[in-house]
Amino acid sequence: MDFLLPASLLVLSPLIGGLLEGTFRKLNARMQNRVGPPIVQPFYDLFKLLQKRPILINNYHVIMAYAHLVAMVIALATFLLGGDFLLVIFFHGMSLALLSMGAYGVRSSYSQVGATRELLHILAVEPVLIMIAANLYLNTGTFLLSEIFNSNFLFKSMPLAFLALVAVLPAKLKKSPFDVSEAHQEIIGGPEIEYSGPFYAPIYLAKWLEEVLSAGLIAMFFLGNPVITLIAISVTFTFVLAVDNSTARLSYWDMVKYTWEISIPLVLVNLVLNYVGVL
Amino acid sequence: MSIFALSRVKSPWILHYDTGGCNGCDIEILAVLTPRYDVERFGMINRGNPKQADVFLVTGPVTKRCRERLINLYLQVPEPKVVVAVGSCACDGGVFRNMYNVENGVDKVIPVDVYVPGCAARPHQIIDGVVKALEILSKKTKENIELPEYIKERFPSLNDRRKVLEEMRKR
Ligand code: SF4
Repeated sequence: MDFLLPASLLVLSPLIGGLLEGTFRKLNARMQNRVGPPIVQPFYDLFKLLQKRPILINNYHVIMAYAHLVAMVIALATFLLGGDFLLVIFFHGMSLALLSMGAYGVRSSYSQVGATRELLHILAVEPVLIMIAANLYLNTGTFLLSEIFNSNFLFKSMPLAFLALVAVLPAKLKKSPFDVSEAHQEIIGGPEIEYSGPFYAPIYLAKWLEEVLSAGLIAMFFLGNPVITLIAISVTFTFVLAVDNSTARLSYWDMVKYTWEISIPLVLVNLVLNYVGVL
Repeated sequence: MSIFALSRVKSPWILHYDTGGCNGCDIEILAVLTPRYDVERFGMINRGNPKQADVFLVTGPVTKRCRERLINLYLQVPEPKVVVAVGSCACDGGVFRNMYNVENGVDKVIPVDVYVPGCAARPHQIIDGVVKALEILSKKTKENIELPEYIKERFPSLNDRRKVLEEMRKR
């Protein structure tokens, strides 16, 4: 496969992620009938965070923030450069686990609660992704993304798996109704509460990369025609934001229950249908 | 203006604390976030987290019980930061002035940069006050650390102050 496009996407991913986050905030504001911040707002936020006076709680806590970012970068790089899909899932889960390990390292009870909930996020999101990977294998005969990317319009043969992905996107992007680990009105950011200034910046950046990774996951189902891919990404994200604006937060237990009772069976049904040759 | 200086002004994250006022000003502060006034267009968000805040909005006359907490919150906000006293009672005590349980205003306890008068202060005035505060914020850097009078009196030597700050950070 052509190497230039994925490599340039990887280098530009902070830029794309920042603009994506800015668009999210703008869209969010428009949905609430507000004007909203400029689209480049996330970059202002990031640069401001870098200029604040560093307040160090302990070294371990900060190292984990950077480890979280690095693991997320590796996940994204593996994804874009066409590595193994299971490796992407593994590093994505690991980066969330590192964040929660850092959060366990401080005494703030909000941070501890947030860390536990972050682990529940892993429990909710990762199994669905693994099931999707199994489903991909059935359809394409490989876990290698470089070969999966050669496929054409996977949505045709795995629509239910895509629905399952959309159902876990709120949990993955920390949007309502499944923003249990961040929960700004409740535990004030959860695992990220004790990070400040320059030490919060890597976490802020990792969030953008997570959005780029999610966009990539959506795009994976709609390859072939770039226009259709872009439309699919924007429609899905708009839907996630609309859900974010119109629902209240559910409890952490509900999150795990929903994903396990709805998303995983959806992928399973898709798997069976693929196996018997209906789809 | 460089991108760094610009970003300092463009992204003020707010921490809001009521030190015992009647809650009138707090309702007005929340009104500022609604679609009608929409301060997010200036990049302001209500973080509720002192460690990630830049602008510290304080309402109320500072009751004796709130004093310690106010100082603690103030020290947790990393520099550069600005403090905006919102409402008459935060400026000088207002209707609560000279009562036995109040400190008569925020500036008796922590350094204040902008005063927003009014009982209750109107949303326009609050936005105006924060925009004024941003002008001050653009001139501040992370090096100039201001300490509350209270800390200066109790810990005259610089070394002791450093220890207090260390203590505060651990919380
Ligand atoms: S200034 Fe007036 S309205 Fe505002 S908190 Fe004080 S007493 Fe209440």
